[in-house]
Amino acid sequence: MLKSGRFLTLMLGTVLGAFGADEAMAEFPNKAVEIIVPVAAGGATDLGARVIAKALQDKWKVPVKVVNLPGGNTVPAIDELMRAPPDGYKVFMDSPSSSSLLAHAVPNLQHKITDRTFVTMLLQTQMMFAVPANSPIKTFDDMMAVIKKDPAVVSWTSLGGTGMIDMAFRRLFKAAGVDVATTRAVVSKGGSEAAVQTAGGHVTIGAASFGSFASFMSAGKVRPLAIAAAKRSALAPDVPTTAELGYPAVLAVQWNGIAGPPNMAREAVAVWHSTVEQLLKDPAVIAGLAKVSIEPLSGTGAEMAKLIATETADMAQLFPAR
Amino acid sequence: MGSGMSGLLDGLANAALPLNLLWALIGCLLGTLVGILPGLGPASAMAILLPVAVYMPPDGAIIIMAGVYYGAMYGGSTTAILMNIPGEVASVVTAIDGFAMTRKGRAGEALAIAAIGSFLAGILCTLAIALIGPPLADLALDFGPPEYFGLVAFSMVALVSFAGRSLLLGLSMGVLGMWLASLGTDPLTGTQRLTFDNVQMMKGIDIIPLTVGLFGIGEVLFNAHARITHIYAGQLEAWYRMIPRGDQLARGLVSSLRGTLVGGVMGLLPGMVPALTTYLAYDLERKVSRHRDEMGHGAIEGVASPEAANNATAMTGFIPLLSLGIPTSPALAILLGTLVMNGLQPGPVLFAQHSDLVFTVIASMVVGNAMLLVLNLPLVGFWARISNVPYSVLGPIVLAVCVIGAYAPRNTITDVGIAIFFGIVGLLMRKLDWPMAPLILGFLMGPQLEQSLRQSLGMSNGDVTIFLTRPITVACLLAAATVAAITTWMKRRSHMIAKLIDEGANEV
Repeated sequence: MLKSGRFLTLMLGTVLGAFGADEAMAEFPNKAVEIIVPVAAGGATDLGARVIAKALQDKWKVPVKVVNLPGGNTVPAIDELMRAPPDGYKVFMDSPSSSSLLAHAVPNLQHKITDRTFVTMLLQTQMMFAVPANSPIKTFDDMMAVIKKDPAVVSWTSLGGTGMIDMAFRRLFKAAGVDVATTRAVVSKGGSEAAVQTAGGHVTIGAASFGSFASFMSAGKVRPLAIAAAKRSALAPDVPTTAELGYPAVLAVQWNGIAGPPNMAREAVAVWHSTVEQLLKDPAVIAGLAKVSIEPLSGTGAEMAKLIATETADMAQLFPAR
Repeated sequence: MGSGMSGLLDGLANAALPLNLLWALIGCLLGTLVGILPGLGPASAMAILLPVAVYMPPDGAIIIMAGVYYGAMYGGSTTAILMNIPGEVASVVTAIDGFAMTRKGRAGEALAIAAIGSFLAGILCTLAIALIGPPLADLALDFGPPEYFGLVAFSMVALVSFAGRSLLLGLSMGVLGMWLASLGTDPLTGTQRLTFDNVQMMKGIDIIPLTVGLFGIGEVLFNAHARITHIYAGQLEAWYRMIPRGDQLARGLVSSLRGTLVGGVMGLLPGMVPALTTYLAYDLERKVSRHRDEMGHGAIEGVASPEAANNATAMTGFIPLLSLGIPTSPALAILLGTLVMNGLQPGPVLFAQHSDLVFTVIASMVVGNAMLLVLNLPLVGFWARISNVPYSVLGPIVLAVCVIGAYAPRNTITDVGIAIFFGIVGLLMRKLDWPMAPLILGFLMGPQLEQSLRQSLGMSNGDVTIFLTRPITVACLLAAATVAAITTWMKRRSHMIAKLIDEGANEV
């Protein structure tokens, strides 16, 4: 419904801005930093951003604020970023939804995805396939058998076409040799809702992040089948990966990176990247992220740009233009 | 979970520690304050507090957040009753009879019964959480898309109760509300609806600027237009004389119990935000109360029931939150964030591994609710005197707060524009005597109806018989049809009853 720390941020920013005016020439960062998060407060992306913001604040000794600008498929939040001065004080919590997958969801975008400055990779969350606890499907192979036998009765948790959960399912159906259009997509608004649908037994198969499923796993309401990744997750070491099970193409990693306005100052990009790289090795930060079921993902802005390019190309294949 | 009662007693001992009492007090005060300010609801306040909560000990962080949450539920009714301006969306219904009472000089009585009803609901639901909590959480899972469809279809019958003098007009307002809710980005597939490629319109219309505009700004404009000098010009008594007694108190308490039941059960279901359950509780009063003829004209039931339902929903939402990690509202989603950031993963394991903490938090709700009652009853006299303040002073202040309230939730000036637009709409609707409560009800139900319908059909591959194969859905649809049929039959059958239904409806 409503969320904001912006008010406080604005006030803090004004006060600190007045002090910082004399030192405008000093090194980055010397005043309050804002991270725009394009989703509502309380979700995994938001909490991850907050863990990082707190660590940055301790490191940089300036306020680092998370500002939530939810809604509109992340487009209004991106718009806010594109209009920010390129000094590195206002950056954006980027993810597949606001980059590689966005052009498919919103056909006529105002800004090109590649216009923004890719600053640094940051976090990752693995997608997990699971079934209701009372499902006859016991293993990943059972699931593949059910899908192949009669895809028309298989219902699954979709997030409406694009998104990492849909990517995971499309790759799964492709691996099973089944046309996704013959299956039953049950569309929900977010990963946590998808997990509730799965635990309630309202779908045949569910996919969501490990964090969304964690409570239901401890309550014995869902049975995890596999993580759509190449390597096992430290958060759920008992759950096999799709790669181990012989389906290395069924991959879906939800990543987060920091993006800046177009032509962001090089010094600021360098400071951002090197600080983030240090933080991601800090055991306290890793532990903080683990509490919210997120893992670090290091990488440069250039690597982030490359990942987005690969994913965008993949999208074109998996999701035919509508 | 640890055994309920002994756990609760241990928890009470912990909650009574001075530091925890202080957190509860700060949370309650802060919550009451944001509840009173139009637009600033519990979720905004909790989002602002979220960074601070990271630095606090886990029990303190959760106690203060929970305090803000139910404090705001409490505070929202104050301005609704005094100025016809709901402090948060859940108080839209309270404003109907609450403001009618204020205009009759009974503001104190309305405020007091709101506080008493909320307290009663708070205590009963806290006990429910502690004693029978975790097993109830499964209800949140049993309710799949078809069940929601049935429930929302049933809720639509309530529209009639808020229709005002003309059923057609009331239903039109409900449909208008649904239409407004559908603008922007389709939450399920991301399709753009009537956004005309405007970036700001992609976010759609938020409930806060809509209510702040229609009720807050609209009311101020209307009063200025009508040259109102005081909301109530008569003499007011001392606060302790304002507390309802005897027959009035009894009527209020019975309604509060009914409201608690409606709100408490609905609170277990995700998406049944307090705003929606208050409508259903009010609707129930209009059907079963012995004083239903007074509803809409300042009946104490019209305040007690929705206020109790409001608080009950807020409270029982903790059951699915703590035992399954399902947040039933945006505010609880932030509370969930606070829990997991402190390393507390909700689930049955939470009750087993951290039973001290869980019961401390639950007990702090008892303490917090008692605190709110003690704080609020003496303040009733102070608040009630606001109805005596010259409107030339009060109006501009309210207007300023409305503008801030519209801006804060989504940090955008567009929302201020939207609020002002709906303020003018609200003025016109008041002048034309069009009911506004059905519009908000439609706005709340529209997306739920659409989503549950689409999801159900997704589950069944487009086969509508899915609604006839699920028992809960069938029961809801049958109940909806029965209630609709009875209401229509009564209308036709008796002119007098028809007249009562028309007159008794809200005049907001």
